[in-house]
Amino acid sequence: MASLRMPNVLNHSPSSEQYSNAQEYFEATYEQDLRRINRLMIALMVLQWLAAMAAALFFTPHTYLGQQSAVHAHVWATALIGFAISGSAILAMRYRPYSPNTRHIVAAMQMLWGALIIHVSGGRIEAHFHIFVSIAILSIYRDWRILVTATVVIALDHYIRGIYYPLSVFGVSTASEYRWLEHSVWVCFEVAFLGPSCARNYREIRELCNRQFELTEAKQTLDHQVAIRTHALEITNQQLSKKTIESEMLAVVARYTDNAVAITDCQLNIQWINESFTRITGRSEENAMGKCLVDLLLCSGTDRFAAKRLMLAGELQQGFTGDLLSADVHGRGYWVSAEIRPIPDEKGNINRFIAIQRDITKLKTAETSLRSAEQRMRSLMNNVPGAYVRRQGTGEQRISYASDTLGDLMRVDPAVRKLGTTSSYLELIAAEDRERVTEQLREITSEGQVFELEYRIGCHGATPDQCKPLWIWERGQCIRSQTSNHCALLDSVLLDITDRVAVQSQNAALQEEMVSLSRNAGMAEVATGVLHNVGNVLNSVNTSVALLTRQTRNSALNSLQRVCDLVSQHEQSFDQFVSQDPRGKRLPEFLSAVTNAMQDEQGVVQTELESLVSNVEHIIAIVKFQQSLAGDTCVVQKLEAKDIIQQAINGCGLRRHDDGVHVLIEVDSLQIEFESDRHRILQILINLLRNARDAISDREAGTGKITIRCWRQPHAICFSVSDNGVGIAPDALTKVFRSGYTSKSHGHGFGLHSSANAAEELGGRLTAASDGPEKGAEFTLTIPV
Amino acid sequence: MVSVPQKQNVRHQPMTRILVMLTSLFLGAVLLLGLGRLTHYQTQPGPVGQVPENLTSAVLASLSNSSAAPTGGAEGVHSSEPTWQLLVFVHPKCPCTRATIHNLDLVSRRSDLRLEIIPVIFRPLHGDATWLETDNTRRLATLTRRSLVDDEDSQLARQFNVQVSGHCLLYDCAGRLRFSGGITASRGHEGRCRTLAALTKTLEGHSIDQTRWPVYGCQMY
Repeated sequence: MASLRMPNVLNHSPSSEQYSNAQEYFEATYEQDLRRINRLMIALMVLQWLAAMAAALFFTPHTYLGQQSAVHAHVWATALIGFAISGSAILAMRYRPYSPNTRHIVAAMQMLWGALIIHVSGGRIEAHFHIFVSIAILSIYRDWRILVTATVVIALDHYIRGIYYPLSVFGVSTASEYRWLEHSVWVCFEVAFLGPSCARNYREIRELCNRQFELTEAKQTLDHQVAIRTHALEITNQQLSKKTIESEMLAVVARYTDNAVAITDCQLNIQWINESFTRITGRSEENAMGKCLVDLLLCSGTDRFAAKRLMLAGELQQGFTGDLLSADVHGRGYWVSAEIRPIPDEKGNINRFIAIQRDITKLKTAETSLRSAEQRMRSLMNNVPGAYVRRQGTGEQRISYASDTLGDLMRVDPAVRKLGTTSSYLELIAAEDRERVTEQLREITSEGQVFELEYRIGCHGATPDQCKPLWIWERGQCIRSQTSNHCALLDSVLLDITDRVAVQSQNAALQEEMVSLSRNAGMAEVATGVLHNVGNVLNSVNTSVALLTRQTRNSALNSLQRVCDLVSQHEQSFDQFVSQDPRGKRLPEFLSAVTNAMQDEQGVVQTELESLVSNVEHIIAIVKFQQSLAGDTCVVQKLEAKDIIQQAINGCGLRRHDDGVHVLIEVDSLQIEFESDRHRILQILINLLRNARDAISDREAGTGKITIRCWRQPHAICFSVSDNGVGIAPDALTKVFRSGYTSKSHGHGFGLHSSANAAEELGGRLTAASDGPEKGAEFTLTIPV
Repeated sequence: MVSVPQKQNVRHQPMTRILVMLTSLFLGAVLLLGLGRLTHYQTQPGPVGQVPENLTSAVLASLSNSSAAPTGGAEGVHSSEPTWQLLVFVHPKCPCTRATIHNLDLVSRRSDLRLEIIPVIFRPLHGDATWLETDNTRRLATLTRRSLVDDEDSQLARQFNVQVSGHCLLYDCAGRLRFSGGITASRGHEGRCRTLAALTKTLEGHSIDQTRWPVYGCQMY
């Protein structure tokens, strides 16, 4: 019998291929069997212990001393001894499950269980059946040696107890000293049958394992060969499938492609064509088979050079690629893009050609049309004023397309006038405007709107002395990318506006000069008015001074001087002189008269001086007003309509009911206050009042009427000055605000013009209205508030 | 496909080995000590005192006074013919006494023996009647026609100086003590044994040398 010793270390994975021989496979099989048997024996050990405990508790639960009870010794004995027996066996099976010693321990412990049962039962003969049953159970280990161990253990038990305590094993107090031998013989009788059976089973299992191992080996070998063959077949199948699919795909391509495909022999005689070949060339398969492909491709209209290349390729058996004008079977021409390729065989010999023809008639037609359209477009672009340019929307804005006139417009050197795609448009812009234009373009491209720009073009190498300023007006639009929505291209039209800019500059200078002249004229007019007023006052002053001079010259003070001289002459005899001299007697009366005269004189002088002071203060006020009108700065301050109107009336020297002019002031509320520039409003109103006064100057005295009105609108204050003077003709209404236009013989044409400008500077407007000549006029000033 | 077994590597740490060895020694010690203690317990007889050599009328009267409810067909202690009177002192709940009753059953089956079995059943002082309702008393009741003697607080046992359940006292017709002791070989050991054989021979009229035998059972007081 082979050794049952199990290997201790086996670091194998659980596959049969890893057992190098049948012995290992058998040992593993036996170990697996041992695990199952050990589980069974562990269950048996536990079951025996539980059964013994149950029996002890049932039959002998307690022992008594009087009415006092205690646990019976049998219970303790069963619990402890049974635990020791079963525990030893279980410990061995758990600790060394595959060790032969474990099996011997299990056999011995199982026999001890039998001995214990016999002992506790008092040697009942029925209890001995446990021995025979246990030996039969132990035979499932298929190890005859443990049967020997069991036999030896139980024989020793019977022998020892038969001698020293036969009552516990045979149930009798006295027994034969050979009775144990009888029992042992019966056990040996059983073992004599079970032992060989175990050995035979063991051998059979070993043989079965050998067979199984051989079968496994054979199967593995067979599986390996099958796997190799299967793998090879799979690869072949895959390649075949791939080739089949490729062939199917190629067949589909060749059949359904729009290109005409033909396969020829080495002489370019057609051997196979597809359906598109018939469709393009109009030649059926019967009509094309066997014919030379070169003959079919060439026609009278074919380019000679291309035809020569094709024929040469056919002679030399080389490939050909090119566009040809060919003719179908009906003689209709069509363009094809032909590609003829030789197909070498495995040895490199050219046996076949494949010809692929693509109908490019529409493409050629489109190219021609497109070329014509491009020529028209270029002609158009090159002949429109200015230039057209398309450039990139980002970075340096490289020019991608430009009309031919761009070079001329940009003053590029004639040698490099053709602006290529590498030209940066921003570099063409003058340095002083480049940053501004770049910033504006950045905003424009982000907003994507139509844009207009004005900037100067740089000198491009010319010295500043030689370089005249060149102004460009550009109008364009951003072309957005369809994918990223950013500004991809900038299309724009450029115009040279250098002359316009120059004219605008001149106009601005003239405008500035006219404003200055207007201002000076206005100032002169104001000064004239002021001087007139001052002159009027000065007349009063002169009158007062003349009166005072005359009063001083004819003063009674002179008579008083003669009285003083007379008194001085008669100083020593003044009393006599007064009492006796007739002149002296008249002296008191004279003095009284002189006193009265001087009192009257003093009154006149006082009155004249007061008038003089008043006139001087008036002059001072007029001068101050002149000084206030001289201011040119725009100072917004809080104003009251009535005050402004009164100042304007005073400023123009017009007094209400003065000179027979009836001045009417109409303010639609008691107090209209607003914030604006006082001086500009006064300038406008004074001009309007002065014009009104001039307009009614020819009217009969007392019939002239000037009305000044002021009213409030939702967001504006309105002043109007109307008169019943000469009026304005309808055709002159549009001219009255022009600079230099005047209907007065002494006018300069700057008053209304400067007033209109001042109204615009205030953010408002000045309008004129008249029903016609001799029907008066009305000027309305609207000031936003 | 045949399932392929897998060999397992069983290795243990040295500490585990030591623990297993100690456990094995402990279990072995428990096994040996347990077997020794069990053997000692089963073979150790109870205390036996000096019992009355003669069965006096006073004693018989006390037995009559202490009789429990009579069993079916009981006719009293005295029969019309001379007979053996076997007093069996029984603890009703002693499991060891079952073997005594079993062996007594073997004797009682002998119809040739004029034996009157008088079971004296121990009952604690003021113990109720359920104390007597055990397998032992039921089986004893089937062995005799007499009533079971209710020995409250072991008064009769004390009177006979008997302490161990299963103690049998055999008196002949003259009231002389002819057998005293247990009729089992050890605790709870049923079946024939020397003491049972001695009792049987005595009942058969043979003269035996040994009349005092050890008693195995629970003590009544």
